[in-house]
Amino acid sequence: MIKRNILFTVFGFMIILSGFMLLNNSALLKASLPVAYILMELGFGVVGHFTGKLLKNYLVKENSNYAKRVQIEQKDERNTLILRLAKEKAYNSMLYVFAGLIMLFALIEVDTNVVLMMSAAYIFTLIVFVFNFNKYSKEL
Amino acid sequence: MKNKLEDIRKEKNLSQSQLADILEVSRQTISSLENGRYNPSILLAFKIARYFGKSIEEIFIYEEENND
Repeated sequence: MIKRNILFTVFGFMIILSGFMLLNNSALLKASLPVAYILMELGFGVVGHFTGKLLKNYLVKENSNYAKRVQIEQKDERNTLILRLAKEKAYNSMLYVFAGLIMLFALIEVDTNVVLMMSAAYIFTLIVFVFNFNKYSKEL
Repeated sequence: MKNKLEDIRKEKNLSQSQLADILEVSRQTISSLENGRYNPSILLAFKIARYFGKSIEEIFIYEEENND
C-alpha cells in the first residue's frame, strides 16, 4: 500500500514536470497551452491525494489510538446522520439555485448550448434522485 | 424521547469519553444522547442496554408526540 502511494506520488511529480516542460516548449512541441495547464493541475491533484494518504498511513502507524479514534469518528452514527442531513439541505438548495441560474442564463440570452448543457445536468441530477428513490423503496 | 443515560453512566463512575470508547461512538454522541438532542438508532440503544445489563425501556423513555 505504501509502495503504491509512493509510486503514484512520483507519477504525479512526473506529470507536473511534463506540464512544465510543455509550458516552456509549447511553441516547439506545437501543443496548446491548456494541455500543459491541465497536466500540471492533474499532477498537483495526484501528488496532493497520495502524499495525503502517505501522511495518514504514517500517523496511523505511529499512533494506533489515533487510527481507532479516526475510525470511530467516521463510523459514528451521529456523524453519519449529520453528514446526510447536510447533504440533503445542500441538494435541496442546489435544485433552486440551478433552476434560477438556468432561467437567468436563458433570459440574458447566453449561448443556447450552455443553457442546454446546464438543463441536461439538472435533469440528470433529478433522474439520479428518482432512480435511487425507487431503488431504496424496493430495498428497504 | 427522554433517557436516564447520564444517571446510569455516573452510577458506574464512567466519564463520557470512557463510555464512548466502550460503545465505539464519539464523545459528542454520548453528550447529545444525555442532553436529549439525539435519539439513538435501535442498534446503539441495544448496545447501551446490553452494556449496562438493563432493558432498553429502563434507559430510554418513550414519549408520545403531542401534535395539538
